[in-house]
Amino acid sequence: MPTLAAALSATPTFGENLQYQITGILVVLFTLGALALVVWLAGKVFTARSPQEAPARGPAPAAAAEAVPGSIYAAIAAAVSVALEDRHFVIHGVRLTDPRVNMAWGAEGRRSIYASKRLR
Amino acid sequence: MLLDILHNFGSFFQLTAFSLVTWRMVVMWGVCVLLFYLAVRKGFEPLLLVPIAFGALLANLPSQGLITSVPLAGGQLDTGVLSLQFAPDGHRISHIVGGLYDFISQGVKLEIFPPIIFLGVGALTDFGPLIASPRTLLLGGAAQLGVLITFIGANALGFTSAQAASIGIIGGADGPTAIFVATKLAPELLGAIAVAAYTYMALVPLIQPPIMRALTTKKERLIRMKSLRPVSRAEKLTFAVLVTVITTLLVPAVASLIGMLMLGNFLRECGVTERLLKSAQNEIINVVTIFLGTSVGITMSGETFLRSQTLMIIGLGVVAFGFGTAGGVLAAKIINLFDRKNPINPLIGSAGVSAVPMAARVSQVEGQRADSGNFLLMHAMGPNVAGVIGTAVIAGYYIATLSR
Repeated sequence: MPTLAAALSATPTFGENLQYQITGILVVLFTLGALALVVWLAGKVFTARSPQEAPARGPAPAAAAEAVPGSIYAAIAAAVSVALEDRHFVIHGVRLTDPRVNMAWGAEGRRSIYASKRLR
Repeated sequence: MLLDILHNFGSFFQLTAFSLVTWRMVVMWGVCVLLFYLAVRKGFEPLLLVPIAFGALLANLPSQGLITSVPLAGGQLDTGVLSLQFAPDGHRISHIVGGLYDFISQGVKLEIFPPIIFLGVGALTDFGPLIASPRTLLLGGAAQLGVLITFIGANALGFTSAQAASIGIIGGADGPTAIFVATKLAPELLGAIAVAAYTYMALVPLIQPPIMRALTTKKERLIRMKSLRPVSRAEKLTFAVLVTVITTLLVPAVASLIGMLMLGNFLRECGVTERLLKSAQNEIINVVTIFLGTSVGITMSGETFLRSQTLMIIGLGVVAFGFGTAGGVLAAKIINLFDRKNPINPLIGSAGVSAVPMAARVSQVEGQRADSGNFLLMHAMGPNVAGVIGTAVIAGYYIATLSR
């Protein structure tokens, strides 16, 4: 780097300054690019070394639905009734989703948390 | 007797410091009140602005035993000056003479405090999102555009290259790095640079969104990114070591910053240094923050702060933040041209300016404004922490090439 130090005076011309700044952004991008490459390669190594866990299959939805106790159906019906404010409704079915795949409940929680944050 | 009491009281009054108050001090009291208002009432980076403002208040009182200032050529003041008293034999130092902040501010002058702050930052930061998506490192690099452009602008306004580099680093939105560079290259501007850096970091939610919206289409803001893969502890530890080694080899001038950042992170991730981690995350960073803030504030005497240069630095700070934000967003759009299968929501590019975690939260909020079901926070943490490394790298480039 000593050459660069000599190249930029205290009051450089626009051209000298531009050249210096382009060198600077190249230094940054080269350093971070090298880091990105190494981290990516390390990630590949770590991913390959850790055996992929076979996704533990849960019960089939239909079978699982059969396993849902009646009290859960009652709770769902009560919640729907409150949400619809006593309008008439018919529940045609309850579908059980795998919580590891469908993150709707967690997503709603995060949405409500962020919605409550007051940013300046 | 009454006359004697009045005479004694008059004599005592002559010993007070009222006669030493100057108009500059009075104006600076107003500046301190403004900083207190921004920190306490508006919540602008209070952890730093309160100590800075209080330090500035102390600097603008005719105090004794607090800080020593020595006039330099060009009307500047050198603060935090220690003097040595030698023993009669002339070979031994009998006393080191100085006020309270002559000693404490050595932590800034000797560049000790910023790396220690970085230790705490590393201990508080999860680099997992960055490791899971290494390409976001490039966003942290591109966001340094603001630093480079501000450097050129500051040069054009008459600042020397060393001063321009210190001012440009404001665009990195990283307070400790800005203080680190200013101490090395332009200590006479330290107070103004620190105030501008921390004030604008607090204003990130106001500065960034208009630029982010102007540079992105509705379709781009709706992009949902793929979930990040889980990152193992071993991978995080390897990352800390790799970053330390590679960055130090490439940019040795910032070895102290990056080394301490990654030491803090290693303590966090290794899982066997719980006590050290808690100290780094709490007591150490808190104590040093108080001393760093007040040491910076105490450099803000009226003689050094009330100059046209200060106004220019504050103006250039906005430019730096604006171009930094634009650089990150545009870089994300460029990456999308090459990687159409796994596009990046350009809103996370703005987080490359550091300001951890405020800038990432801004990306999250803007993303949800376009699509309330889109969660960009963890994706934005990648470029956010990459910005810390990127700013340290450009700081190292400037220090290596401009320090004399």
